[in-house]
Amino acid sequence: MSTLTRDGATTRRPAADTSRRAFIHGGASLAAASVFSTHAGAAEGPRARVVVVGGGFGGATAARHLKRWAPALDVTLIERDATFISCPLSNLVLAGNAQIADLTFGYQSLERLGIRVIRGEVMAIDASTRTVRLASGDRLAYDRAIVSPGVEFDLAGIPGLQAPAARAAMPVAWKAGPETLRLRQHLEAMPDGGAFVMHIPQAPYRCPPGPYERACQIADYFKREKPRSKVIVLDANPDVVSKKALFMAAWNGPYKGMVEYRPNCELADVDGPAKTVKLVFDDVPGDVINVIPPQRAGAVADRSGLVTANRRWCGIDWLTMESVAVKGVHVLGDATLSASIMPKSATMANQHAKLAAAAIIDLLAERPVEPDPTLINTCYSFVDGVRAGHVASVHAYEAAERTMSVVKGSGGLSREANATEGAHAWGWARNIWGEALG
Amino acid sequence: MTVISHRIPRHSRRVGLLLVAICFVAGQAAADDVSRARGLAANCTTCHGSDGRSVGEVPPSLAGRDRAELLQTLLDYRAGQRASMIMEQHARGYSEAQLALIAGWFSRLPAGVALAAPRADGSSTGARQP
Repeated sequence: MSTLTRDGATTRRPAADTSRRAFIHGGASLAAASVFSTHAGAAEGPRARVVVVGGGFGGATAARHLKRWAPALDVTLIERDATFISCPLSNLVLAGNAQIADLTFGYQSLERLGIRVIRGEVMAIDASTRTVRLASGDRLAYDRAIVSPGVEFDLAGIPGLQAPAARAAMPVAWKAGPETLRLRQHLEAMPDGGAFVMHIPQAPYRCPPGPYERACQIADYFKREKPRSKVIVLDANPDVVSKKALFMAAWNGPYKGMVEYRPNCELADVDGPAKTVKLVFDDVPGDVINVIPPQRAGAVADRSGLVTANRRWCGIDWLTMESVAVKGVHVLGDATLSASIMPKSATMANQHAKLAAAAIIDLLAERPVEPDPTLINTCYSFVDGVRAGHVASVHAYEAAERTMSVVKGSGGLSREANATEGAHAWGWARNIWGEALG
Repeated sequence: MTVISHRIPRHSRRVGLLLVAICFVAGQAAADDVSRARGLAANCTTCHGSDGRSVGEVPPSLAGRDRAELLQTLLDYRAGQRASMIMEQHARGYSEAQLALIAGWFSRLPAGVALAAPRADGSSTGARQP
């Protein structure tokens, strides 16, 4: 297969859509003859190889939309885990308000769509040879690659959390899975009258409202099962990072006297045997300890030369999601250097994925990409087992700044958490899971 | 007369070329609209389901709905004339022209079976029929 480059991207070429094909004329077709050799029928889209690294909300959604929008593409998805476990709603598992099985899905539908799903660990992407190198030693050639690696925990400043035994005693549970269940077990084993102590890292981190939702969920569980217990929230940030009004209403309402919130808490370390969070100016003991570490782009991004900002995040071109450092490699989701007020959320990763899929199809067909893309965010947080509230925003491309900005007047917060929005949240979840894996 | 007989074909050739050019430009504009509509509609499907087919009752499916009704609903949200939990906040992020593209896109998609993520063992989680 011939390797397509981006060189012709600024010239108009025949399009993949049948609606476009209707307007192709003789001259244009002749001029594009060399391109046609790389195309299946126009409706099938360009023929090329796209390799997607990471099967979460970004990667799986990108792979599925690439294949659905351009069926002639040869799409491979490489994922480390056998199943997909949703981080959104996983705080409900901690409270017994949802089961982990409700949030666990398979990749079978993607295979039925014709996407090759490989379970494996990617060592790095080698842009000079356009290959993805797996830990197994296999190499996969690509015309365009997508990296959607999620986040990696940065434990350098938390020595007490580095040993496996410490991690088992203090599960982070910021990636849904076995640690979610272990943290739930610790909460169940905790005697009534105990304290759950959580530390939140400085923003940006995955899921800005997530820690505060977690505080609500655990308070909900305590209120039901262990009413003399406390939730202590130690926040490295100067204030609640997201949905402050919603969470304060819960902490000052149904959980009054149960949740204690302390801002500006700089973490020094954590002492597992003493069950103590060590702050710079204070030690806070508890019964169940949950330190959420600072985060950076998943390790494969760093190994592939994609990290460009603060040694943490990957700078990208917002028209294509292509890395600013490595041509032909697109980065999605939490690993990206976020634009202003753009959260590291599942919705945003889903939106990145579809923007990238459309742009990659255009680039491979040597067509100009959409010059004016729009992305939205919608994040729901549950304050108990039933009631949820949202934060929403619409982000539009700013050509002058080459970034995404929130559209003035758009977006906002729920007036109050309620059961209607709780139903919306489950509806959102079922549909965003379907977008990735359906 | 040779002068006339040359003139007419030359003229009609010019007209023909002009028509081809107009068709190409108009066609490209229409194609850009299709591409743009799909991109904008992809903003909505996160919550409303791929191809506008929702797995659950809420948020509602959008595929196959009447274009004018969809557009009016979106414009009412945008103008703050229709109460909602979240849609007013989203609709205010788009121009009327963008909302028209979105309404047009979903109205042309056929209603169909919503596609849900399968359980870990590959079994269906019960995708909803239209």
